[in-house]
Amino acid sequence: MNDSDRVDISPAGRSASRGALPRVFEASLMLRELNRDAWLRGGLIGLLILIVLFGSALPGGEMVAVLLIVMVLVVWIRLNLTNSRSAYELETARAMVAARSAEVDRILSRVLRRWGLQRSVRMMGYVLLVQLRMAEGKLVEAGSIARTLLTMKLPGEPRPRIDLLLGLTETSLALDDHWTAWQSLAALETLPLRLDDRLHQAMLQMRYESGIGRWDACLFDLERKMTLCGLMRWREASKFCELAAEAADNLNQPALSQWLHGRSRLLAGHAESEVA
Amino acid sequence: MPSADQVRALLARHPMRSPRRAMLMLPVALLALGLLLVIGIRQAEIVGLIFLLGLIALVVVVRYRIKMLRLADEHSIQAAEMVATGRYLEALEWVWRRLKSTVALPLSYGRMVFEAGRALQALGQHEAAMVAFDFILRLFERRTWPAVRTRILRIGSLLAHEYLSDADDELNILRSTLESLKADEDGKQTIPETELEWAWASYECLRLNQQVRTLHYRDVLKLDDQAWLTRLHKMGHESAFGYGLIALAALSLGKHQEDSAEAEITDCRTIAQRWWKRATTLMAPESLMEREPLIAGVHEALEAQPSPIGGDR
Repeated sequence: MNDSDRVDISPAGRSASRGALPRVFEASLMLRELNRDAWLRGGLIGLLILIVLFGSALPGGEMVAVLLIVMVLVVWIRLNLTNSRSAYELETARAMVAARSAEVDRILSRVLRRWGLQRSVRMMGYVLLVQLRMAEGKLVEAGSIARTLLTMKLPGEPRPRIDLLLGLTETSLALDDHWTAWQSLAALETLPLRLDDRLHQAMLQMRYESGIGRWDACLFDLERKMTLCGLMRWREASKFCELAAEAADNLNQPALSQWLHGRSRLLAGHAESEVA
Repeated sequence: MPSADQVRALLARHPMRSPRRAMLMLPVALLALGLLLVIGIRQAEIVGLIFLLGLIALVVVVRYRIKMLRLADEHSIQAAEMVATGRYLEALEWVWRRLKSTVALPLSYGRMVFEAGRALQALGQHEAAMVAFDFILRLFERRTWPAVRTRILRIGSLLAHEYLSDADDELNILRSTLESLKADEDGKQTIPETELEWAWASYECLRLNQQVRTLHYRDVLKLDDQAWLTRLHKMGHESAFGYGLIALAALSLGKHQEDSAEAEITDCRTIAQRWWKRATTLMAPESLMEREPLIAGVHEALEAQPSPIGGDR
């Protein structure tokens, strides 16, 4: 674990610079933000209803009430425009998490500082923050955010939950926390996964089973697993075959092991000395 | 199986269009109506009520719109999954039925057409596939990922159809595009590194395909094993097609050297055997031949790597 992985538990875990994201994630801060947004938006609607009901009783008469209604609506429309812009910025940032993390960090810090965001937009921001922290290698923080978000009702289910569970499994495996990895993998089983998710899940499952030494499970239903492996990118596919080969080694299946080692080496761009 | 004309007819029947103006103007219209009411009606209760109803209507419309966007996106993802898992006919049927739902969304629409092209190409309908690919290339800017990916597939179809001159021109365009994508002036990449390395490996594989089709076998074998492995492996399991083509080049060179020394011919056969084993370690010979019929001759002449798990690899 490197320094960047340590969680700063001090209440002032914010960055010194005002424009940046908090240096470490604080669940309480996120909850405060969500409550603040809810109160702001709910308050505006409440205010509008109050004006409608009791507007004529205001000093200055109905003209003042109408003006108040217009003011409330202007604020409401402004909030919605901010929301639309924020959602668009987050969607754009999502596509460049891996390649341009500094820019994503800037976008996130700008969006998450805004007031009156819809719950779905703010949560979308935090889901993106998990992906960003993972890309930066800050696994403890990524896991911590994912765990917090998974305890809440997420908008647009089940997509964000799937992303978070995959992220949490990834971080747990990297930190040798097999118990959390197992829990996340079990939770994933109950969700409708897309093909990309199934490939990611297969890889994580293999890493988990290999990590705890369940070699027989690694090779269970290998034909199906190899079909999935055929759809993975070369790095993941090579690693997948390598882990399966290790399992075959441990189960004393030399022919299978040699074949899998050969595949792994070929996918990694090396001559497969064992196969030739 | 859809023909090129049928693909053209589909695209003409459901052309892409920008989102309905009326939908985009709705919030502005509501605001204008509200302001008119404020001026016309002095009763705060009625004005407030109308505004509230307007807000509710706006929320309903926006939610409906978001639902439609998600559905269209889901349709294009489903089509991509069907093609990735080899359910080509199902994918084509899916696109034919649901393309209409994506006409107002350029990305989803583009993806649906792209997947139709991919399915048609996999089924050997290269003319029809090229109609779809040409459409995508008109839709997206040359340096965007959809355009790069489409050009790669289109070149594959051109080569399969033996349009070698067009394929050469397209390969040159692809190369210059990929070079310009290495990094922008400010060092930022517009396409993720993983996609870019796949694209470069695909480019090398297409060049190899071109060399084999133009009978430049010797040029193929000028590079040593490691150089080819380094160039092609980033295609993942698809690099098996490249390895199969190298085996074909070596085997064909051996056959063309009837006047050469026996040792040289045997050497070519050994090289071909080595590459064929590599290809069939990654992919079953049947899958290789299905996608690249040129390879059939290699399968008859050489011994494939047996698979200890059986079935497809």
